[in-house]
Order: sequence, then structure tokens, then C-alpha cells
Amino acid sequence: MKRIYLFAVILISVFTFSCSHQVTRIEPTATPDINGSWNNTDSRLTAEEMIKQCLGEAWLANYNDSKGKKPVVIVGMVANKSHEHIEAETFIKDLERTFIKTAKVGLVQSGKKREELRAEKADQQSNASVSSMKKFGLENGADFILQGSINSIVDAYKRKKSVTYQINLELTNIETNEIVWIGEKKISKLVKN
Amino acid sequence: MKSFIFSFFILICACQVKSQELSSNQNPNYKVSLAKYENQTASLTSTMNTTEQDTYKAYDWTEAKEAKRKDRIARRQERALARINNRSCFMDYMLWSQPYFFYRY
Repeated sequence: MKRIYLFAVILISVFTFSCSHQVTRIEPTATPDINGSWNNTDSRLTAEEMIKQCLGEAWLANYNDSKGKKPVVIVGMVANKSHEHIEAETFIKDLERTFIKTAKVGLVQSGKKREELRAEKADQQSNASVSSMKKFGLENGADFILQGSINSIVDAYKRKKSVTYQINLELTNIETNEIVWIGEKKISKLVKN
Repeated sequence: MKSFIFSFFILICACQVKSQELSSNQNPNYKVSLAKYENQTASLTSTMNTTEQDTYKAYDWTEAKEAKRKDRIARRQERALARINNRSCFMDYMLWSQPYFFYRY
């Protein structure tokens, strides 16, 4: 009889624990690879590499020497032409943060956020006090635009799959259309199912 | 007074000429391009600071196998349903008339 009780207890506990949902908190830098698709580690590695390349190459010194001021950059569009949904904002934001933190490169707002800023400025023209009202036509014009692309190559057979991601960011002089910097990061993975 | 008005007029004209002056090496036809793009700025800059998702579907052997399996199951289910729905009265009679039919229930 005791054995039956013991067996029942074990069975119930196994059933309970196997159905429980478990969440473990981990460091953002220690994201494990689960199914081999693009993850936080890839984004972080891309950001680190891009920051190193962008701030360490000749375009920055050349601009500082010729103009005597730090360059102002606006972030343009990043085209994801890979086989997965990848949001470039995760590594672009890291790059932007470094621009501001190091104070080597100026940054101006773009896209929907810029539209919101202009809308707020327009609202101030009729609602804010004259002394605090912000004027139109005093925005900082960008010298360079940052654009990019994400590509991937997939090679799969049976349970093996190799994936290579290639991330490119480019800085182009807005006035002259001259590309002054191209950053590149390649990530390769071999997945066995 | 006349001379003051005249000098003011000259100053205004000079400012106008200055604003229309070209920078060194600037293309004199730049206004053609300006006219083309100044009305489209809102639509052309709306995608800034975003990621355009232009993804493709990569062939995955395991995924393809799983999809094929699901298709097969669905096809069989459809065929079975169609067979039930299209059964004729004669077939019903035949089924009911079979002696083993009653032993099944």
C-alpha cells in the first residue's frame, strides 16, 4: 500500500513540475543560442564592431581637419534583405549612444521622431509663451547620412544548416554624395538539428 | 530723403542678388532638382531611422519536410470528408445491409 502512495506522490510531483512554466533571468550579454537565428549576441557583436570601425577610421579625422568641427550625422534607412526579421535599431542605437557619449560625432533626430519634434514646435507657436517658444529654421543640418543593409546566405541540407549574415553600414556626405566610410560585420553559424 | 530711399532700394537689390548667387562650382541648373524633390520630402524621409523588412524565404529541409507532412494529413482528412459527404443512398443501403455492420455496435 505504501508503495502505491509513494508512486502516486512521485507521479503527481513529476506531472506538476513538468507542466510548470519556468523563467530564469540571465545577463543580456550571455544570451544563449537556441535555434540559431539572429539574437541579442549577434546584435551586440555587430554594434561593438561598427563602433570600433566607425570611430577608428580616417573619415572622422579628415572631416575635423578640413572643417574644424565635429561632423553631424543623421540616421537613414537600413534595408533588411536577409531571410529573417531583424530590427536594426538594436545595434544602431548602440552606435548612436557611443556618438553622443564620446562627443566625437554630432547626431540629429530623423524619421517619425523628427516629425513629432516639428509638430511640437508648431504647437508652441500658438500655445507657449513668447520667451519659451522655439523657433523654426534653426535646426542643425546633418553633414552625413548613415544607411545600411543586412544580407544573409543560407545553405541547408537535411539537418545541417549554415547561415552567414553580412551587415553593412555606410556614411555618405550629403552635399557631395561621397561615401566616406563603410562598416562591415559578418557572422557565420552552423546549425545542426 | 530721396537719397536714403535710393540707397535702401540698392541694399534690397544687393541682398536679392546675393541670395541668388551660386556657390563656387555649383551647378546652375540646381533648381530643376530642387523643384523635383522639395515636394516629396515628407514621403522620402518617412522611412528614415527605420528598418525596411525586405526578407526572403530560405529553404529549410526540416521545415519543408514538416510542411509536406502537414499537407498530407490535411489532404487525407479532406478526402475522407468528401467521401462521407458524397456517399449515395445506395451505398448507405449496402452498408446497412452488410451483416457485420450490426455487430460493430
